[in-house]
Amino acid sequence: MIKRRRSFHLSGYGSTRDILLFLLPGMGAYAFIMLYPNIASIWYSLTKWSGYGSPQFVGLENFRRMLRDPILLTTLGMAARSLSLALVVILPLAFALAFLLSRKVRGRKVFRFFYFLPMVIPGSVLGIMWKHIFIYEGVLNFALRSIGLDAVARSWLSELGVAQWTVLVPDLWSGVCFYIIIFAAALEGISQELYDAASIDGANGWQEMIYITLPSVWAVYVTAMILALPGALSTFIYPFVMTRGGPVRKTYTIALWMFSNIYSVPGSSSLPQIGYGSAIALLHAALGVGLSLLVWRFRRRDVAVE
Amino acid sequence: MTTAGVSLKAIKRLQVLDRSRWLISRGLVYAVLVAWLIIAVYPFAWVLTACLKEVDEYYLDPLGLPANPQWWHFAHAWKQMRIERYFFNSTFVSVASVIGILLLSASVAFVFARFGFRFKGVLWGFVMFSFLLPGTTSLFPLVVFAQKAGLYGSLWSLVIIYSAQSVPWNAFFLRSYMEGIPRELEEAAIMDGASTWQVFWRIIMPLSGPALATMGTFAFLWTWADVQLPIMLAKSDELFTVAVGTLFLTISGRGATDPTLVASGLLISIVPCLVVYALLQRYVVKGLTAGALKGI
Repeated sequence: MIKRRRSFHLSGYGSTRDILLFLLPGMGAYAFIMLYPNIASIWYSLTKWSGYGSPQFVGLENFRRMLRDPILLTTLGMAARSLSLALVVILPLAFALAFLLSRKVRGRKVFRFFYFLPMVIPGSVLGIMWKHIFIYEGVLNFALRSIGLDAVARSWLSELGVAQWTVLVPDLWSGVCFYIIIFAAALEGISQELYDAASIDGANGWQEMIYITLPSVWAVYVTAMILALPGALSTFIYPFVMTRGGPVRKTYTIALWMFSNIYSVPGSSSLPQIGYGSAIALLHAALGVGLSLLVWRFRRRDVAVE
Repeated sequence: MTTAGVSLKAIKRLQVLDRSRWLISRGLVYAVLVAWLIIAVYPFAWVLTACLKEVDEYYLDPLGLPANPQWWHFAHAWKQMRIERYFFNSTFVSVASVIGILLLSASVAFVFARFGFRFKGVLWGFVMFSFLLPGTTSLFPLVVFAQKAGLYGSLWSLVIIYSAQSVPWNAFFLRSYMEGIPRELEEAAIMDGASTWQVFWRIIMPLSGPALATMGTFAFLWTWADVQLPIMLAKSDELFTVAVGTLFLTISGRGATDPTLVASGLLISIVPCLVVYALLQRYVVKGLTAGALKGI
């Protein structure tokens, strides 16, 4: 007999039993896939383990080693570059382009179709394309030389001080393409009446921008920051494909550093270092959560002001 | 009104001025948009031109169009990549994952959208919590899980992990969509004695079609593109997905020295993504913007 205390329908619509049956598969699977790996990672980070045999407990040794590892600074430097690119270039540039796109442009759909194209292609494929653009015998240097800029041509992927930025270019490119679409939709959603009212009152373009456009899309801009900033810490596929962390291990991002510890290329002699890799993964998670909470606070304050 | 005292002539002059300024600014708008269009598609143009060139020709001029198209490159790249194997693997993983993702998330979303129950807020908070975490911490433990569950060396490991991992994002999106479905229809059905199961399958799921299409498209593209998990879980190259296969294209064999073959392989590998995008584009853009406008 079904308990019908919470149900008001003969059919048992919305009964506790039904709710449990509908929730259990999804929530159960998610709870498992979320809790088990993260807890296991904490345990692995306290061990020395190659993935074969059983893990050996070593206490905080992995974290001590991390602090002494020069790659730590490299990865933090790469994270700082990614974050500043997102804040200073990607989001503002995407907003500017989306603003132009929203100016009743002809062929808007065509622009949108092609702007979004990079988002549907696997990053590994995009990375290989960009690698062939940036390598020394590649397209970019050829183009520079053919317009007489031989002095600018260089080894984009192996010159120190340059490579660290080069591997972030594809991220910038695809980031702008993604946020254009988001911002364009937000801008198109602003009611035309607001602008009509403003122009009757004699507002100029700048005033419309400051008093109508920006306040209307600010919430979406903050949402974009919520996505973009923690995302900037997870840069992986482009440096992985384009430089493998080189030259002299100077283009390691946190995610790539982690991955190169837990994955060894088939046929290579070095064993994976699961313990150390897990410690790095925890550092990544801590930075990610910290950054997300920071941006979320920003969002709440913004809502409170409204 | 500020314009009240201005003469008719002055207004005319202003209009002419306005018109030419308008034309110039229009021109600038298009120039900038087209410039970004070229940047956005250039890497694809590279693939299209490079894949048909001869190697020597490519190194002499990597920018120009191919003089005599080398169509055999595709056949060669196809063979070298064992691409039919990878295509089979990727298609299986992506299609099965899309089904798993949609079923698991839609049932969760339905319950959160329609019913009140104890611990609802806490459970939803638990779902949202995953938005904070980057996935890196799970990677190796999931490999261990696959080994212990006897799934290592089977594509099902990917399907199961993807389906479970995507519950939060999809449930979040589908819940807000389902909350927008009017309740009148299901109330009529309940009067007629429909069960929860029947309401879910006969009313909620069909009416959620566009949202399911959006999330299904994203799930397909995401599982097709993922590299970290399939590379870790591939016991041998029998289990490579297309995305993993492309990574090895540049490392081994002729691909290491021949960009034209690499380009042909890349082009073949992205055909399914292009087809899915072309067919389901309106769901992609619409869904993305609906989600973003609501804000997280």
